[in-house]
Amino acid sequence: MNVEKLLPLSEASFYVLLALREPSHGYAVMQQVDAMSGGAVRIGPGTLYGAFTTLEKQGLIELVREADRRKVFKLSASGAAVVAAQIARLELMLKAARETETT
Amino acid sequence: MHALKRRWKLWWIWQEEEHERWLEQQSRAGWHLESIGWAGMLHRFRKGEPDDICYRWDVPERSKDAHYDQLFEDAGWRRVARTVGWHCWAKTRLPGEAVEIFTDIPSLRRKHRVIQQQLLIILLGGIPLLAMQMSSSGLWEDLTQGGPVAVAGWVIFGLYLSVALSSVVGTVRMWQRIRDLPA
Repeated sequence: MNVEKLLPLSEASFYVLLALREPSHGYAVMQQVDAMSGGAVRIGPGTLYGAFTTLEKQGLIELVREADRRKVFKLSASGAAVVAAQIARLELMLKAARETETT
Repeated sequence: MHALKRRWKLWWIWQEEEHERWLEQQSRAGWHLESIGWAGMLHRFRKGEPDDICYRWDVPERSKDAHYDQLFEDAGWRRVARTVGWHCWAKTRLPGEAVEIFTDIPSLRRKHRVIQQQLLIILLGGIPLLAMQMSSSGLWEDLTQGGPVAVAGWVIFGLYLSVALSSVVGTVRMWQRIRDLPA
């Protein structure tokens, strides 16, 4: 898998992948993203359904089980690699921003 | 006893946002959507208290998926109608609350593309059908001969043309909407 090809992740995908470091179902992911971002990022059900479909096709998340019409997903090994690469990029950007900051 | 009303409204799939606004207007006047039939044209409303209800159309990749339904229901949406693979979801809006089913540009773009593909299928699907009809059944001769057969023929031909023209307009409109989305 070419990790670089999948970067940069959209804000929604990034947060969804972070939330799926622990196995979770859709609504729990929405609540977690809301909490993690301090309410700045809210994911609607249409967006999340599409994100699940795409991320599963790309092999970044995998289905753990289905219970009560809810699918529980978790981050795959490839997903973890993509998240790590995205974080490395974000750190570079942050570092560059800090270094050029005028005081 | 709650009053009911039926309303016919012709709208095309590329006008789904205008249609959502119209449903919201009806709810603010106390008429809440109960069901939709006839490929989205016949609406049944029930009289109730005026309410600020948000209506949103979605065209999911798979039309029947329990996981999809559950995800929307968990997020507080209720499905008020389903027709030709399209789902109409409703949720009461609290004062100042932003209520959306699509919350980012990539997913909105994907929905627009699905609508555009459906328009192209309608447009391109009709061409071979019409061509087959004209070449095999002598429709063109019927059209030029006059009489009731010709009238019926012209009506069908006119209907196809209006659907085709609308699909062209819709395809262009969807292309503009996709282009105008922020990068």
